[in-house]
Amino acid sequence: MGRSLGAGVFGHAVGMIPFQFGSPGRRLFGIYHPHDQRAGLASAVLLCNPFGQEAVRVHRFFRVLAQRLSRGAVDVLRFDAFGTGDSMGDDEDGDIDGWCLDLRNAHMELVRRSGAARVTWLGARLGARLALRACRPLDNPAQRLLLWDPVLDGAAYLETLRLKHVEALEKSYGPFGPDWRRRLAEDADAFAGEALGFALSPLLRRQLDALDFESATPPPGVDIHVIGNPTDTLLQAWLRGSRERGRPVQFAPLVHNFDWTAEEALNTALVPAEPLQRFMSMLAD
Amino acid sequence: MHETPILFGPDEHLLGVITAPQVSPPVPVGCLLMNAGVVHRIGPHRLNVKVARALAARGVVSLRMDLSGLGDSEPARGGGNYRDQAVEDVQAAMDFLERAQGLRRFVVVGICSGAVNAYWTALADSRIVGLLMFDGFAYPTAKTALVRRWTSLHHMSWPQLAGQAWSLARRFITRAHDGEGPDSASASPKQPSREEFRTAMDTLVARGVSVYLVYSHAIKAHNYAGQLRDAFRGASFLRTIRYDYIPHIDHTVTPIAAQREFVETISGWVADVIAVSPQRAPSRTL
Repeated sequence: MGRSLGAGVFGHAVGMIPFQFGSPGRRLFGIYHPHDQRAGLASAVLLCNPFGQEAVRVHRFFRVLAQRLSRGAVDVLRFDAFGTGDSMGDDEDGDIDGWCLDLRNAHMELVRRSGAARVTWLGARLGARLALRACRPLDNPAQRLLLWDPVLDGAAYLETLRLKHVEALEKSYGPFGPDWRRRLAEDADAFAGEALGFALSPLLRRQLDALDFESATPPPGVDIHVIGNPTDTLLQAWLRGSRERGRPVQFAPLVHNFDWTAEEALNTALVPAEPLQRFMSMLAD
Repeated sequence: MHETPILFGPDEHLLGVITAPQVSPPVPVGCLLMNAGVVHRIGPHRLNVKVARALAARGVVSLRMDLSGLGDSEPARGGGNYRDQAVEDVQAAMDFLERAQGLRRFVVVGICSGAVNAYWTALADSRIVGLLMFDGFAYPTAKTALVRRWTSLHHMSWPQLAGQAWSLARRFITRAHDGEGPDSASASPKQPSREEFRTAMDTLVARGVSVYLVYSHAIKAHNYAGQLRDAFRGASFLRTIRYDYIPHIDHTVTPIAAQREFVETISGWVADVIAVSPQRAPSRTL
């Protein structure tokens, strides 16, 4: 028994529908979770992955969240952007502009499949920053953005990736390997082309480097909620700046021990309970 | 190359992605890739995707899949144990590829726990003609323990050395009392004994299955070239299987350069196995 599920295959007989969408040169992998028809459709949710190892870390969490939401009145779409996960393209093919395009295509696919009038995007880390950037040019944009621990400073994020990459190498090869720490400290370009097993092209690095704090402007007309650590000073400064610019953003404090940027061998995919409960309560209505 | 997501299995509870070459017909042996640990079907650092696409470039159809309860696959309805369920899941993948692609022989590639599941499937199903285990079962020897100690001591300061010497002395005394051997520290209770593993390898070799055992550098489990030969000194299967210890590749194949080497090595080996695989149509079970 088995079914192949190409683009355009609809049906609510199963709990999830894996499929592909997008243009022939940019086929994307998605999993559509249709709502329980007994509940009636209330809204739809698009889940936006973070980058690289962070996307691997959050995969199970997003799957569980999607499954639970779709048992109620919410349609959910998860997808892999170009050059990530099961989508076409190599690691090096990923770039910010292309991923924003993918996000908009995924949004339109979700609207087309669900028919939902109310759509929320939930983005984690870099996925949150992409959501902030991608939701503007749409004719029928998302009504609400939930941004979980958003990447606000791209240059600082690149530095974090370099450091975490070296930590991963030390963990994998043992602490007595080559002089990774010295290279990290002395050479700003060392380990710049890869992060915890995922390649970064020069274009992507330039784009990430340009993602500064000031350019993270909340779009008008969209209800924005940030979920993050109340002690994150950069995040708090951004929230203040948004208020001062007349684009207030709602803040929901959430402290968790989910280490986003970690390479902890193979048995570390986590579904932290508190974030799951929090997002269920924010999205399940 | 084109890819197709599928739901398959008795309850369509398993999710996988078929990667097929543009050439038609593809080579008559398929390749199966599965979870490593709890990482979903793409594999650590997307390695399964990279291997699948390299195989497609060589004309090979592959299916990367989530086993029951892992990744995006639902748990199985039955109450069987994990090992049996994993074997049933991989067999369901072969059944699907047989119907959809006409494939009746398969190579199974596993990383870490995937290697273990590949091993049990190869023993249970004669459609498997090739088995690749990356960091599967490890059998440390006395030399493994010595290499581990030497590596640690070699990088210590004098105060650290003094502390280590005291610690070693205490552990030596404790072990002497407990009767623990030098190479038993890393043995997993779930892994076959040396004798069981030797018998299994002999069985696979006798069946004509090509076997490739690849080990990355793991300081406690497998840390020098030739460890497998030392652990199974004189075993006949060693003359037939391929074995490599690759110290510059880590357990999750983190550096991009290591990934390129890994993908090239794995896909090249699979292509070689397929090239020499007999054109017979095996029965499903043994």
